[in-house]
Amino acid sequence: MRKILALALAIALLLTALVIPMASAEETDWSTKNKLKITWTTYFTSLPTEDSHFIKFVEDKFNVDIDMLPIDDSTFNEVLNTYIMAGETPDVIRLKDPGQFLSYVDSGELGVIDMDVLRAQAPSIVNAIDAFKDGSFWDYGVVDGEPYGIPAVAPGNIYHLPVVYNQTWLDKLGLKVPTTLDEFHDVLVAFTKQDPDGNGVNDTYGLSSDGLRALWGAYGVNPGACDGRTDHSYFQLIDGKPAYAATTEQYKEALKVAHQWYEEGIIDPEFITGENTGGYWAISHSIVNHRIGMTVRGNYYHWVMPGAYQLIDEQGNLADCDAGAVAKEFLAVNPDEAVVLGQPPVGPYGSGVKSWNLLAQIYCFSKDATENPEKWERICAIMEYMDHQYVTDRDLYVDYYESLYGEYGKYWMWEDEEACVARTTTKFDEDYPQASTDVWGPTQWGPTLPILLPTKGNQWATSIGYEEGGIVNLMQFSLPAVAENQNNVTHLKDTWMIDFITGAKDVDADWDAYVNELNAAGLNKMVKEVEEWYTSTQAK
Amino acid sequence: MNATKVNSSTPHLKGNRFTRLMQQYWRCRYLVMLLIPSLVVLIIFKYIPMYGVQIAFKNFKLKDGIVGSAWANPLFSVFQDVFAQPVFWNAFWNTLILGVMNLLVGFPMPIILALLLNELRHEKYKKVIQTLSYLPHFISWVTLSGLFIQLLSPSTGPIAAITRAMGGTPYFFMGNVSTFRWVLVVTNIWKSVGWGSIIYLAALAGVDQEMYEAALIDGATRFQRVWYITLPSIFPTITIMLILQSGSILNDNFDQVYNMMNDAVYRVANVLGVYTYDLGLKNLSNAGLAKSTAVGLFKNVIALILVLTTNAVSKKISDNGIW
Repeated sequence: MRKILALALAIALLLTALVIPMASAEETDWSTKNKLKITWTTYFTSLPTEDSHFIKFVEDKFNVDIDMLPIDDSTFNEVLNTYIMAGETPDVIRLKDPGQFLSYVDSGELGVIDMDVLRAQAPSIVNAIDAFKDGSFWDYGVVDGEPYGIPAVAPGNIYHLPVVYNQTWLDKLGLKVPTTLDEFHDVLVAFTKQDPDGNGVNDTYGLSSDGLRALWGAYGVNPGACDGRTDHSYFQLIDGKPAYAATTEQYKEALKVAHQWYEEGIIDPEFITGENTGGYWAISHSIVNHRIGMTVRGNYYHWVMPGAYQLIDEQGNLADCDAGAVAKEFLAVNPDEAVVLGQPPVGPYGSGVKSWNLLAQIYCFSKDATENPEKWERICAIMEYMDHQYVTDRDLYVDYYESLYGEYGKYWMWEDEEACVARTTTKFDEDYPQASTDVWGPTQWGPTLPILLPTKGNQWATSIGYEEGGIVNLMQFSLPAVAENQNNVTHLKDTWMIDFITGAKDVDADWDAYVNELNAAGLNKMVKEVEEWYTSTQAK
Repeated sequence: MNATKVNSSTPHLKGNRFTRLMQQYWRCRYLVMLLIPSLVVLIIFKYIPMYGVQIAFKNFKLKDGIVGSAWANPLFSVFQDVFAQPVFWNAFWNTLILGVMNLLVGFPMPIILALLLNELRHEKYKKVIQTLSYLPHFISWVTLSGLFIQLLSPSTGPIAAITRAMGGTPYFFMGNVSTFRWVLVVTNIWKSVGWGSIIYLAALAGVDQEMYEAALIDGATRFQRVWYITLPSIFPTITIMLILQSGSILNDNFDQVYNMMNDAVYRVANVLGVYTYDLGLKNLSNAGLAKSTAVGLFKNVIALILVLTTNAVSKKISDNGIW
């Protein structure tokens, strides 16, 4: 492999030498320039080591010394904040929560981006963002007229959260995937009372904390799940005005239904500790372990059953797709069962479930990175090169895959050649175990781009109608008062949600006390700020 | 022993009080040198960071830095903002209640364990118990919280299984406001009791064995020997530990609480540690940082008052004190 890489690099260098007169950004020979040290942050499911394939590749190709900070995704903000407060701001920050972008700019630790260099060195990144919604997403990275960040758009987030049912249970009880809230209720009752797992013990429930999203959606709101860790403050436009979802009349009505369901026993009494007991975030252990029969957690691709759609396999034949990451867990425990994805049930205020924000992250940079022209140029070039997975130009795409993954056919192959979608082979996973575990991490060095890859998976999600019916957060980022108060407010919102559902508090009698307590904890400041922002920038 | 020697030799020392003191230090220079590492740690980690406390009195902006930010006007406005928040007072009372519970229930436990171990005759058995009892001290709360959440789960936990087998309905200890604090207290005792007993075992080892022999001849029962000899002998150690502990009454065990809490029990689990974490660290917010610093300072002032009071009371009652 190293030989192939070296050969590929040598050829690339040779070609560069030949075409110097019309050399474009990609063909700059970085080895003649100064070696730079760059600290980088990104997303990984497992921490990469210093000799990770991708890190070494980037270090060699761009003549840099990469310090990939080992920040775990679950505590990303906290750890990043401690780096910043210690005066060690990373050069490239994949700001996980765009909600905090303004605070970071306010901290004075971020540098202003030189857009000309970015445009020259990373044309495909710039062009993709320009082309998406008239380039309006650039605004999220601009503060006081100065560009501080590159918006990372997750086009996959046009698909709403999956509404998952245990299909084997449905079949056994002679039920169909429900479409209305009444049918939904009937299914939950059956899941609870008719012993769907057939073990003779009354130990199943309809749904738990995440499944409740379907109920809230039928009332037109997303107040978030009540596990305190997955949802930030949700603001929605209600009657043309921005409103905090968890203090709306719609939510109040939905809470009464939830309490009734709790009394009926169709909500798992342990819903308060959530459905995930640790490990990979998207797993609902409750549904995997036959406690409940439906959930709304993760993304559609986590729950894809084997064979839901077809792909080209390594021998070039049409073959069934593999199970999604959570479906795999489900099948490991229940090998003979299946899950099915449905649409959110329709209720009095329509239907829907949460969609993740399209603005997924903001890439921002240390002052050191932006004020040193050489370093900034290098960073832009690395991001551009490493974002080539989005490129639809076949030649560029092949170059990217051949130099990063190696020989075509051995280490990578087309999944859809026309659409320029490739994938690695099992041989690659075998030869580079490290690269395969952090394949999501260091392959993603720059912002995700607003190009919805026409993969078979995405085509399938579109075909089951998952582009429609998402409830989107009005606030794709957050304002200072929101940043300061939302943690306390969210805790209180959750504790009241639990009390309302279990009946410890009465929805009608205690509603005012609930709203007052949230306001006292800072909600009124948050709402005021959001209203001001809305009237001054959005309402036209 | 060393100290008395130095004292007896002081008369021939010349000069004023200060030089005499310095000369004494010089004589004991090797002992003083042993103190240096702890002093360095204290200075680096406790004194130098103190300059950051000023942001509690400032209109803090990260970009202006700690020194560069303007003073708040009025000076105590950050504190006023904090005290005006009901969530803060909720956190304050939760911390205090948890601290008092930990002190009342948790403080005697290592003493009792030490006394029990001291009465054991079988040396090997004693060693095993001792080792097993302080092993949990070395496991982090992140790990332990997962363990306890599983143990106490009303659906899958072993305790629930036993309850069901005996015909009862399992209880949701971690999800109920009325039991959550006890879960914290009991698990904390389980984790720290063995480790805490070490200092008392050391004190017990220093008790004069002749007193026990004399008591035996006088016909004292085992309980009487513990009551009249052992306890009074380790009483100074107990007092000092109590004074030190009373100072940490507001030092909630953040690691423990944050890992074990869920939002159903937020009302009792929201201790000052959780509050400042939410305010100052989870989001990067200028106002949040100033406020959490103010809370920390407030907490320390209370702790100082508590230590001084306990010390004074203890001196009045028993003549034992730290100073």
